[in-house]
Amino acid sequence: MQIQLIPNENGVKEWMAIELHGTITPQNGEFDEKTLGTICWCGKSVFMIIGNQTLEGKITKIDRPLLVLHKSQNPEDVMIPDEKIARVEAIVRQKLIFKIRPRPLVISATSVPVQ
Amino acid sequence: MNKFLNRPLTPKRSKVQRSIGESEKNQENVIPAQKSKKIDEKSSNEILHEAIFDNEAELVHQILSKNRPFDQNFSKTMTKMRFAPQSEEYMLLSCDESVISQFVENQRLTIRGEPNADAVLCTETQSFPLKIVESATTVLLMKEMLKAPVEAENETAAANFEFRKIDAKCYALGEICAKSEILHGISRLKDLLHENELEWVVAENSKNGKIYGMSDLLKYVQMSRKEIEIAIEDLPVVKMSNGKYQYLSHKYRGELQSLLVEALDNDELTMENMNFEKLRQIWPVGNVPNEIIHWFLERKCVKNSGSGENFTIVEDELIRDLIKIVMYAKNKMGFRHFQEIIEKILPFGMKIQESHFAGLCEFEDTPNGEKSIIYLSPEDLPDAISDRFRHLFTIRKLWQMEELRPYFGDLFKSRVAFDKYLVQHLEYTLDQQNQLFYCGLK
Repeated sequence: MQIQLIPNENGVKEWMAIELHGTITPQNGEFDEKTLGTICWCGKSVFMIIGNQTLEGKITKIDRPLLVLHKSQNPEDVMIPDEKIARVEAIVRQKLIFKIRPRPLVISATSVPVQ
Repeated sequence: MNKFLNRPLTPKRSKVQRSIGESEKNQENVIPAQKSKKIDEKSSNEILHEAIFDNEAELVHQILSKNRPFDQNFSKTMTKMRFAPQSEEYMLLSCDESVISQFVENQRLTIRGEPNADAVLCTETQSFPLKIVESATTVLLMKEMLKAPVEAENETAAANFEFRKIDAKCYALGEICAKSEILHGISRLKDLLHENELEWVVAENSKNGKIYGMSDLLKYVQMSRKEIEIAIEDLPVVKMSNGKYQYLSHKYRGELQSLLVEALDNDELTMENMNFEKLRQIWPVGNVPNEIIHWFLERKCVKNSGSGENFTIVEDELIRDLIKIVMYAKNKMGFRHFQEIIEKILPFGMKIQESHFAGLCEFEDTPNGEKSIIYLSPEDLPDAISDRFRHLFTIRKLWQMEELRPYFGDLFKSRVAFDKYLVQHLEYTLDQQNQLFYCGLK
């Protein structure tokens, strides 16, 4: 069997990846339109607040780029027996990686303005 | 192979599970209850999450900038990450930059393999084994590049949120391994080509076996086009006019050679003055298609310089082919008996030398003092590297590197790859003169 990798008809663009350790699970089974978190930029460090956890990360260049593959849904692409088509949608050369263990988000009471 | 492009049905367990949309949920659950309470009863975290939820950037910035780790160089622009309405799922394949650049230059990339076998990624000339990376990480994809915001020089600029979309998730991560220096697919290639060998007796060719063209072979063999072409060059395989490849059976080659030797002995042909027409005269049209004559001239002869389409038969090639014909049938025989047979078969004036046996036959001393000869042509040896080594070590216990090399010319792409394999996978011993001998597989 062969799987031909062909470029997306609109060209192969560069995308970016976000890498988190562990898995993320949406509360009602759907990711759609859910907020993942808030990224805070502090100089060269990047922090993401997810719920009551803070993740520290950085933007890095990937040593071995990633091809983003999508199994073709086009019926014309799967007409040939023993041959399938996978479209290369993009190439990823940069990622925002969070590889340090998450820390609890601690907000001191004095930092909150009195209303 | 099926592992590629098929989404796993169940999510994997992870060490750390994070719940997204948690802040919103907290808000939903907590806010209605809190509305009735006084504001000072809210925890600091709740106030922060509420501010994030309501996009009150100034308040969020004010709170966070007084807490570690946000208390240094905290940008006034914060980025809210949100999943797209219909986020898609993709497979990621980690490749070397050289492979990516070949793809970008419009070269084809193909994943090949049978459903129950490991897959390889092939360019036009090379093949790379593929493996699925088992990882406990989550990879999300964004179509827009994310970078640190450029700070306005004015320190009084208002804090703000920018909104970015997470467009897709990754469901599997594959990785290509170092380029393969071993032609692993040769076994499958030979199996396919053996399905319908070309026989001398035309009636024997009407078998049901399939005849394969290059596009068929590429479907079933885990090798690149160039690698298949290289492998075929080492085999007695002819490309016919219909584009299909046919393996010449031992019997067929025996008939060809015997007619050739007969013509040489009868002076109908000379070794140094060979061409298509002369060969056409000695080989019957019904049994020998033109493509086989062209193949013979290309593989077994050298073109004479400055004499048009005339060729010279390579004597060593002819002798080795005749040794093969004699030995294939017997596999092992007394050397004296072999000499008697080969002397009868060889064209007049040709003499056999020790070099003709390199990578083709080995000798063995028998208890009665007579030497015997064993047939070991790579064409008929096991195709799996370890099996071939095992077979050779049953014939002889100790081998030097250069003695082993000719038996593996069809499996390794380079001398270096063979040397590396020997060092990594074979046991060795030293003799009294510190000469290195290989003695078995690790």
